[in-house]
This record gives sequence, structure tokens and C-alpha cells, in this order.
Amino acid sequence: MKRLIYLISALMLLASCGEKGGTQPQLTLKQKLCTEWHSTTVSLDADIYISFADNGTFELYQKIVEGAYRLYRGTWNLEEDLLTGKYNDGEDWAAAYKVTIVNNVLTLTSYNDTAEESVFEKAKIPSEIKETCEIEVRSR
Amino acid sequence: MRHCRFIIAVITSVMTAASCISEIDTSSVPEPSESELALATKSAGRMSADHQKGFLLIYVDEQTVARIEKGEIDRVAYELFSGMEIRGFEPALSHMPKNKEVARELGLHRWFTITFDESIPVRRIAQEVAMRPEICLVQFNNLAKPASDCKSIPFRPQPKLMAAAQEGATIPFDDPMNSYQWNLNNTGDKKVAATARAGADVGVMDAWKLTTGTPDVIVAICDAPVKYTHPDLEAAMWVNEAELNGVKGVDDDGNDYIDDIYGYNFYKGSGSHGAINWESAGETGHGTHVAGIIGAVNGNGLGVSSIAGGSGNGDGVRLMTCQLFEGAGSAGDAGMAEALMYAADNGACIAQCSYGYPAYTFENDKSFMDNAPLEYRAINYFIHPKNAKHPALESNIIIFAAGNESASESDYPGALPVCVSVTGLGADYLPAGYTNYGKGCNLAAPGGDLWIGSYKEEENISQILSTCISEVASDYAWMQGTSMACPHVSGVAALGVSYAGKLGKRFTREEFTSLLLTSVNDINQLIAEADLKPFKDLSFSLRPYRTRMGTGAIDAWKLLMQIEGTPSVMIKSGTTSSISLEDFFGESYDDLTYLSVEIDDDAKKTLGLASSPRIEKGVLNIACMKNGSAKIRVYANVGGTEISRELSIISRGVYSENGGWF
Repeated sequence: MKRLIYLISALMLLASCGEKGGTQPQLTLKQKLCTEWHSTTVSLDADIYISFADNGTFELYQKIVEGAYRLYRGTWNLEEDLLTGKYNDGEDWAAAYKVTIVNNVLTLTSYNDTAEESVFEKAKIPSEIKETCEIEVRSR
Repeated sequence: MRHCRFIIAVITSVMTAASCISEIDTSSVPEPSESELALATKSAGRMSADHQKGFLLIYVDEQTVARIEKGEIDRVAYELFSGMEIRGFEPALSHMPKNKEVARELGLHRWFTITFDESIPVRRIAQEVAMRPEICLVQFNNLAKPASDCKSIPFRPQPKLMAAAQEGATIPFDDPMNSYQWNLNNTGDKKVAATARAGADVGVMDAWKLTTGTPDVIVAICDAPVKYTHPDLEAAMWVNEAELNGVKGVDDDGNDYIDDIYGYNFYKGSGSHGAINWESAGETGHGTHVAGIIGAVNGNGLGVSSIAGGSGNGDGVRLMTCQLFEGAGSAGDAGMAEALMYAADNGACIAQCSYGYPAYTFENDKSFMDNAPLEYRAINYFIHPKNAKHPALESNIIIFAAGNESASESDYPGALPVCVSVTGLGADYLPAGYTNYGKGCNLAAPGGDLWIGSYKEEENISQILSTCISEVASDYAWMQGTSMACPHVSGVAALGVSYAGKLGKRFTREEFTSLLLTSVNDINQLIAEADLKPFKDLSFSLRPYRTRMGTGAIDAWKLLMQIEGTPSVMIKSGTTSSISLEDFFGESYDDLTYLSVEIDDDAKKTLGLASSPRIEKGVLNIACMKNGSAKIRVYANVGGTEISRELSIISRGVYSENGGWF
């Protein structure tokens, strides 16, 4: 059975390479999402880093105005291109988001009446931010 | 334990006597003498039953002080007091403060003392000197004294006490007694009290992850002596290195005080000559207990932990002992004033003061200013911007206990708008039976409450455990009172200054006080639900305390969050949002009045405001039509102290309750 799966996977890989003419495997939206992102929207005086892990958890490091970075953790779920999430304190994300990723740029568009866009680029979360954010924010 | 703090007994009012003169039937009593009228006009102090005999403070005019400064003091004394039985005439402040400019601005150079035989009635001399036109004010030197029931219960490691330790406490230091310190980490363990509440503490556990205090923050303990050789305090003491390494009996650092290594003793009634002394009869360990709450060394494997005692690497705040009481003796108004000036001159940025005049002694702020002018000026010297030494503060902070008379107003000087006055809570987050509340009270903090704990003294851990002196009790003991609540706020303030310094931030006294008074948790709901509470052998109603304990219970974490930056409020654009100001100003305090909201035109444009925001019943209503961020400032008055808070409004299409971006 395992051999059969390997064979099918290899054939699919070859087929995709043929289509694109390159060697990169075609990643699903979920696979593309599973990395670290940094916000490029600066108009709201906020600096946001978020990492999506493939086990369905996220870590959000956010700095609003001149405050320090604060850490939020939780879980996420992607159904087709619709992203939802829940913080570890039980609070749901305020909206669901439509996900588009083009050329390593992630755009999350809120699925509500405002259709607010948050734009991110792929970027590693600086270790100094992670180190200073050991306290997780929860509703108090 | 109701009076477990130092109080200044002030009972006889010369001013009251003066006012009576116009009210009584003058046909039936003799006319007041000219000297009595003169004293009534010039009396600045209320003659206490406990005033110092053979001693008066006087405030002279500028011409007279100018002559004295030219070296004519003997001639001036002769002219002023010839014919009177005056023995001595000298400046009231045995050491003039370093900042001469500020001292002169406040008139501190114009205060002098006169001494005479103790057998002569003070009032008679006061009347005589009041007749001199060169003398503007005459003040009796009121003596502070420790209340007789200032009791401490020693920590004795017996099996019953060992078994009474809190379970589940997670204080991150290896100080063996810290599982008894519910005031730092309250797990809600019923061994503390049947009504103990998890989280009813000073909120320091998370705050310690950001700072545990820094040694550049010096807290002056204006109180009974701090035992600087205590094993849990020795490394936390402020040290005057020049005196430590200098010659005994010599003023090595030139600050006018000889051998002031850890501070100074301002009580002049003994033979201590400025040396810190905790061995006199009547000593209670009060000052040492207060000091340990703020800065006992953390992580040294000894005794207790403290709010700002460092991370275990000797890096906590420093404690300066300004001794006001020696055994049963008191430094009086002059000594207290001098202590505050010494503290400012030698680098303290926080004055921790668990003493005051009992409630109802003064009708209002003006009454205090008129009747305790020297102390009032000394307070103003301490908080004067030109005397600030720490880079994070533009002026120093002064914190007082609210008092233990169960009275519906704060003691003075704590009730003054420039001071922070602290009320006392038990491990149940409810007012303790002894605490004052109401007018002039600003904040609540754990002060301990014996009566909600075990009836068996050997198991009772519902008071505050801290350092004490073995000469009185043991090295560690339990005490309670607003005297103990006050250093909790001082400790949290010290953490705040440490953290502000670390972040390179700087605040005015008004800004820092605003942050302090708004870093609180709500206690009103609990008070409303509890209704009755035990006190001694009785129960008392909590109803009068509701909304009158200050803005709420101090929370160190919240203070550090506020120091990090302007608090941001996310609201949803395109609709009217209602922001509860309690989150930023504390709960609905009876004496809290919102005054106004300030927003400039650019901010209005950025947020797309159709109209100015309004405050109604503690709620800020704001309608932002555009996504954007801008700052606003809300002004309020809390117990006579005007405070303001800047808020960042973030208007977005998405709004999350917990502040998360998504």
C-alpha cells in the first residue's frame, strides 16, 4: 500500500513539474499559509507578526501604538480560502478572513460588512520580540 | 490592632479657641488679652496634648531672617526675646536642605525654634512671642507616637503554622516563607481565610516577568527605624558610600549629616545623635516591617519575598531609613519635615509614609496647610521638580497610609491632592475593619485582616508577613493596618519607576500618579455582594465603603502595561462606540468626576468624527466613520486630585474584545 502511495505521489510531482516547467512543488493554500508573516499596513500605528503552524495553532505578536509587543496564542482553521481562529482565552476572532497569497504577500480580508484588508509579507519573527513576549495575553 | 500605625495626637485647637471668642457672650467672660489675640492670629499649629514641652517653632519675616543670615542672630534674639525666659534660638532645620533655591522659595529658611524651661507653660511663651511683629507664625511642635496596640505576631515555625501555608502559591523565588504571602500571590486557599479570594493580591506575579525593581530607585522609609542589619534587608539598603568608607564622627560626604550611612535618625530626644536606633524601649518593628514589604531581598533563600526586592541577583530597589520614631519618642513636625528634605536631597524618588494626623483633625486641605505649615512646605520640597533625581520622574512621589480609625475620610497629610492615600484590604479583597475610607482616599491595597483568618493565633496568616526585628518579636512577623497597605502601593510605584527607567520613559508627578490611580481592579461589586464582614467580635456593614475605597485595588501588572505605552482602545468604525472609562480610571469611585475630553482637529479628521466625543455616566461615546488611529485625553477628578489619561483610539473594521488584532 505504501509503495503505491509513493508511486502516485511521484507521478503527481512529475506531472506538476511538467505543467510549470520548474522543480517547485505546488503548495496548497494551507501549506503556503503555514509560515511567519509581518504586517505591512502601517496606517493604523500597529506592528503585527503572526506565525501559523501546521498543527493548527498560531502565535500573534502585536504592538499597538508605542506599547511593547504582546503575545496572543490560539488555534486557526482554513476551509477553502476562509480563515477562522480562536484565542486561547476562548475568544473567537472578531471576523473570518478571506485568504489570498500572491508572491509571498498575504492579504486577509475580513468577511464582514467592512471588508477590512490586512496585508502581510513573509518575514521571520525577530528572536528579540519572541524573547520579550513570554507573557501570553488573555482576557483579564 | 485597629491603630496599628503611628498617629499624631492633636487635640487642642488654638484656632478653635480663637473662633470661639467671637461666638461667646463677652459680657460674662473677661476680654481676651492682647497676647491671646496675637496668638490666635499667628498660631499655625494646633496645640496638642502631646506637644513638645519647652519648645516652639516660629516663622520670622524676611527682614529678620536677612539680619540673621548676616550673622546677627544673637542681637536678633536679644531684641525679640528680651524679658522672656527663652534659652535657645536657632534654625528649625538643623541642616538646611541642599537645594537652597527651592528652600527659599518655600520659606523654609524662615523657620526657627525657641527653647525654654519645660516647667513654663508653652502657651504662655507662645502668647508672648506672638506679640512680636517680626514673628509671623507660631507653631506648637506636635509629637507623633506609636499607637499602643501596634502589635506584631512573630513568625514561629511550629507544626500548626507550617501546615497553614498556602497551597499552590507559585512565587518564583526561593524565599522559604513566601507561601504565606497571599498579598503577593493569593491562591484563594481557605487556610488564609474562609473568604480568601484567588487573585486578591497586588498583581505582581506577571509584573515580575518585566521588572523586579532596579537599584537606582530609592524609597525613603519615613517611619520607625529600618533594621539595616536584618539578613533580608541588609543588601537592599541604600548606602551612602562616602560615609560607609569614611571616618566615624566626620561628615565625609559634606551633606551636613554625620555618619548617615543608611539614612538618618531625626528624633532628637535621645542620645542617638542621628544614628539609626531600633533598640529603645517601646520599639515595635513597624518601620522594618514596612520596608520588607517593598524591598526585602528576593531569591536569597531567606525569609520573605517582596514587591520590588529584585530578581535574586541583588538588583532590587534600595531602601533609605528616615527614622521619625525611636521607641515611644517622636521626631515631631520639625523632624518629619527635615526627614522629607533629607530624602529628596539624597536621591529618594518615593517617600513611603505610614503616619498621619487622625481623621477629622483637619476639616480640609486649607486647614492642614494653615495648621501644619512646616510639614506642608516640606512635602512640597520633596515633590518639587527641581529636586527630582530619577530620570524616569520629573518630580518625586509621596505615598501615605489612609489611617486606621474606621473613619469616613483619609488622615492628613495623605488626603492632600499631592499625596497618594492608601486604604487597606484583606485577603478577601474587601475593606478591613480598621481602614479609613471616603474623602481623600485614593487607592486600596492589601493591609491584612486578622479577623477573617483563623481564631487560633498560631494558625492565623491573614495579616501581612514581613521582616521585623528580633529585639521585639522575631526576624519575621505579621502585622496589619493601612501602614501595611501603603508600602504595597509604594512597592508597586517603585516597580513602575524601575520599568519606566528601563524603557527610557519619563513622567511628571501628575502623569505618574494618574497611571498609579488607574492601575486597579474593581472591588465595588465584591463589596456590594458581601454586605457584612467580621471585625473583632462584631460584624460591620460594608455598605458605606462601596465606591469609597479609592479607585480600586492596585495591580502592578496594569501599571507596567500603562507605563509601556498609551493604552489603546480598538473600536469598530462606522458606528457609535461606547467605551467604559472604568477600565482606565478605575471603578466608579464616589469621588471620581469626569471633567472633559480633549481631541484636536487633526485627530477628528483622521478618525472621521462627525461630532466631538461625549462622556455620560462614566462612558465615552465616540462615533468614528473612518479607519485610523489618533490620541485623545480624558480629564477627571479623583478624591480632589485631578488626573488625566491619554488614550489611543484605533478605529477599525474589525473589533476584538481581548484586544487581539484579528
